[in-house]
Amino acid sequence: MLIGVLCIPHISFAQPSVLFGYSNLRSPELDKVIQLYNFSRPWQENKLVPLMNGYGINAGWFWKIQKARQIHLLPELGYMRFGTSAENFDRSYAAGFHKFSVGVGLRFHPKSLIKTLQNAGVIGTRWFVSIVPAYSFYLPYVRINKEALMVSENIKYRELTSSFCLSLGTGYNVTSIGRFIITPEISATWFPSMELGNFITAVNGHNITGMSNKFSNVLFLNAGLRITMVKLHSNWWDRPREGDHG
Amino acid sequence: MNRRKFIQQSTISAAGMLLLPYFLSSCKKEALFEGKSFAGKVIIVGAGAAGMYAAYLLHRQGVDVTIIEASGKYGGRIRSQDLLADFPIELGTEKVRGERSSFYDLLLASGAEMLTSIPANFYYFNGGLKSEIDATENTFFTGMKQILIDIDDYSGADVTADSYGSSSGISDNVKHIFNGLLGNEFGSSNTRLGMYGVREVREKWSAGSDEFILKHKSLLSVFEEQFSEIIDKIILDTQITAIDYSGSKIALTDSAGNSFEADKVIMTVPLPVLKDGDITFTPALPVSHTSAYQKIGMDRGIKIAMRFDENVWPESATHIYGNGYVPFFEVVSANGRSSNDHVLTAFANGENAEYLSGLGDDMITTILAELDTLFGDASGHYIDHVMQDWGAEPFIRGAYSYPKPGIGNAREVIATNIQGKIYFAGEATHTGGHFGTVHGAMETGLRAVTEILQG
Repeated sequence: MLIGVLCIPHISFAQPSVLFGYSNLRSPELDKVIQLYNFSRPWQENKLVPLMNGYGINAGWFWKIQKARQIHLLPELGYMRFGTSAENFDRSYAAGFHKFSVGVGLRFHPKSLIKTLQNAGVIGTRWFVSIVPAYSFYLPYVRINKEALMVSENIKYRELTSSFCLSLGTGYNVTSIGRFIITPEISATWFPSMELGNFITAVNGHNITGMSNKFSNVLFLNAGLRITMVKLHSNWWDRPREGDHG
Repeated sequence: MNRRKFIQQSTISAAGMLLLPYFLSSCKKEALFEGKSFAGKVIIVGAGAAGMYAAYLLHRQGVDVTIIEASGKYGGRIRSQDLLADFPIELGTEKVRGERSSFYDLLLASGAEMLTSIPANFYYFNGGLKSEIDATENTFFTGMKQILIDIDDYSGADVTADSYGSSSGISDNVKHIFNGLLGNEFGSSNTRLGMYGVREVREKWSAGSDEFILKHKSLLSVFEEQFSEIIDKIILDTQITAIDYSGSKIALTDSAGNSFEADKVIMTVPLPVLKDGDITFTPALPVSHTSAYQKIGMDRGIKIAMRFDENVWPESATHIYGNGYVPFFEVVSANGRSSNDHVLTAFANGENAEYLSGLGDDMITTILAELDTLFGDASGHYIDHVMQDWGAEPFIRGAYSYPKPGIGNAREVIATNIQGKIYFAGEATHTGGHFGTVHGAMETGLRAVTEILQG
């Protein structure tokens, strides 16, 4: 919030950005929740696939915080959804979770990190590495025949939980089209601990095996395409910077 | 950048982005028991819902499994009879409680037509039978219903339901209804039922709120069909009397002196069998287990299905709460189950069942007299009946488990395996509020199987 407030006077120098992303979820512990459901119902031909593929969108604003060293700040809001579903004997079953995140990314361009690339010219400035600490909120869901699971007469299954995560990534500003910069990116996001409230009971109808709804060391492998709108300058990363040698 | 280069680069990027999920998805995900292997032999003692389901899961994993059953029948407390009416009469489990269980999904898979059990309650008090609407005009009745609802927030001592009701001010003229709705429903009477256990069910129940019955099929026939692969692995008429787990292998001995050997044993026998020490364990079961058994009750339960030549009860009635030795009657031919036969089931547990059981052949006469009080002339329309006294079954000796006052964590204790050799399953061992149910029994079978396969 504080960062957002501080950003306001600088928005005119900031550049809005949208990322369309895909994420591959890696968590053997979370896989077991779905696998237990399948294991306990061998008569069901169509199995639930463990939660793996997520699709989402991020929106944020770029601005330079260190002109000479090409360090950019990117506060960003993100949404991603993971789900799995199967239909057996005229009964559809779907489970997954929505993930909302708020993070502040730091993007470093190699020109500032690796002095040997100083003379790389345009290519050197196009490549960057990023580190993004973020806070994510999760809202799991279970739907039976497309209706939300009810935990009591009037209450739907909704358990909002949250945790911290850290992303490391890299990308390349491949081109610009008009005032838009196209940037494919890849990253890995690590959650030391991710909790989906009562997810095991919601999916399986019980938690008789005593599994934990807290999943440790969850990894997301992300890939996306970012589109950044250049508000004041075109190809801003190409502009000569203080201390540049040509 | 020119247009050609843009199109080229965009196409490559787009193709890469579209293929990426498939590439990453093709990376093998670990199976549930990946990295673990169990190549030994499992013997399951008891061929009820828990035992049959556990055997089925183990068999599907390629595990060598045998079920040993003391009686001459499998199915445990799932039993039906086809001769009284044009639909199977369930003598044990009647309903599917909740739509969120593997039991429900099993029934779906069987293709059996399921009917939603929609209760239309009638209550006998103040000298007359009243519908739900009429009953709610009585303040003592509405007060009693509110006291039932208030159990959700109960924070007092773990007393009997009867004490709770009395201290909450339940009027004497509706106390029998309170027992029918609570104590009898839990498999006993309010004078024996513990409040913490009642609250536990309210807090933990996660199987769904709707109830279902099968229209034309019996529950046991579904088990027979769906678990057909393991039926020939059941050894009947074999009562295990001793289990020696002191060595590397577990030796089981039956009443005829025959021996069996296993690497793991899953005990799914009803609670009284363990409580009463029917099976000698070497080494002896831990004191924690044997003392925990005493904290859980399992009382006598009687079910009598009676056929009449017409509906002697109100046309819309499905559930009737009486004031005699039978706290609860259910019109089992209702909800579209039968259009030809008129069948009412009497369901009594605990003290009431013990009294009725003592009447012997006079039991039906007594019940018909109660029905005459409720409906007028019921005995004049009576045709036939079938009766199941679960307390008289030598290897079951009760209906289903219920929590006594002071139960504490007894279910968690009795569910704990011993030395990774003896595992426990069965409805009494359910720790998630589903005790006393078929789906709960199946879930405990799943627990035992996952414990064995995960090592």
